[in-house]
Amino acid sequence: MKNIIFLFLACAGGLALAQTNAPQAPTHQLTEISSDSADFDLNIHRAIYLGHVFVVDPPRVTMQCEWLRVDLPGAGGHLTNVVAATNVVIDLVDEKSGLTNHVTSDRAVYYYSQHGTVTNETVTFTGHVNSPPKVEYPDYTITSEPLVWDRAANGFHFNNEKMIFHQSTNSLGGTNASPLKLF
Amino acid sequence: MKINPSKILFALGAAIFLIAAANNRAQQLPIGHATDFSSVSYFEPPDDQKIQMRLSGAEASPLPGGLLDVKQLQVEMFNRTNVNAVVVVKAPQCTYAPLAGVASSPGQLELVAVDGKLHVTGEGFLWRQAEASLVISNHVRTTIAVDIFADKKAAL
Repeated sequence: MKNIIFLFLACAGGLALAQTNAPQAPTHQLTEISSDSADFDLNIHRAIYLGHVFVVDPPRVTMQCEWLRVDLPGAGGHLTNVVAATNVVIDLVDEKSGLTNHVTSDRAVYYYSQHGTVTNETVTFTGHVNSPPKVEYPDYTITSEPLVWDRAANGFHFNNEKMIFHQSTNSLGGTNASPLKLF
Repeated sequence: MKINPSKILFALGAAIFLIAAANNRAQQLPIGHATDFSSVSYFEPPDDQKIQMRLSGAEASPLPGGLLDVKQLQVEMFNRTNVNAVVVVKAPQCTYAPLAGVASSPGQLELVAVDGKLHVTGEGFLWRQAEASLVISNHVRTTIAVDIFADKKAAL
């Protein structure tokens, strides 16, 4: 790599470069990530967040974990690959009911792709034998390995699922339908 | 543009100082400081005429061990197709090791994608020039702007 040191007599260039921040376009929504620390690889546009990672993806998703890898969006402007690991907790607000679905897992992988008119947007949750991923509804909990949230269809895919009904003294005995579609 | 001869002399002095710092780490650095300097690296061939990264500072003062105390650090990252920087990293102060190509500071840092889609702030950082690697040690906050229209397409 050639490395050349230049000296500028005027700071006009520097001032011009300092003014290159473009204002946020109104067609964008903001996803916020906070963490204790982070490693950025600007060659491959990848960020790894470590410690007390908290993600807010309005208006429907908040997530906590201890490790998060994000492939930063390119010219397409959409996140395509995100991996969360260690004590992953995600709260998903259902668009229609407004109820919050609480998902816990060891690991979650977000994947987005668009080919022509076909869009795939999923989050795949995985755990381990003694602690599979689970989604908690007000009246019951479903465990599944893996557990897949199809974000585009707003529903869950289960595999060998187990449903655990909650015993609640406050329950009126009604049966609430799952706020999200089950497949 | 009218060029002031005294500025040329000062600039030459500062250039000698920077080159000396880069060539001999153990050498006693000259007294004084440089202003408005930059260090540029290029892509590998066949794009070796295109800037890959530019590190610049408003002021640089010598520190022991061949280090520089840089004020108003700015690192600009380019890609092979863009004339303008695509990512800009700014810090009010840092310590820069020219030979190792490493900048670090316990202070504030801001990273901005020029298209406005990425904004990162944090406290305490280590920048490795050769790897284009940035480690932020504390209180990292990232904002990513996602295309709403792409999101709505996905929801259909």
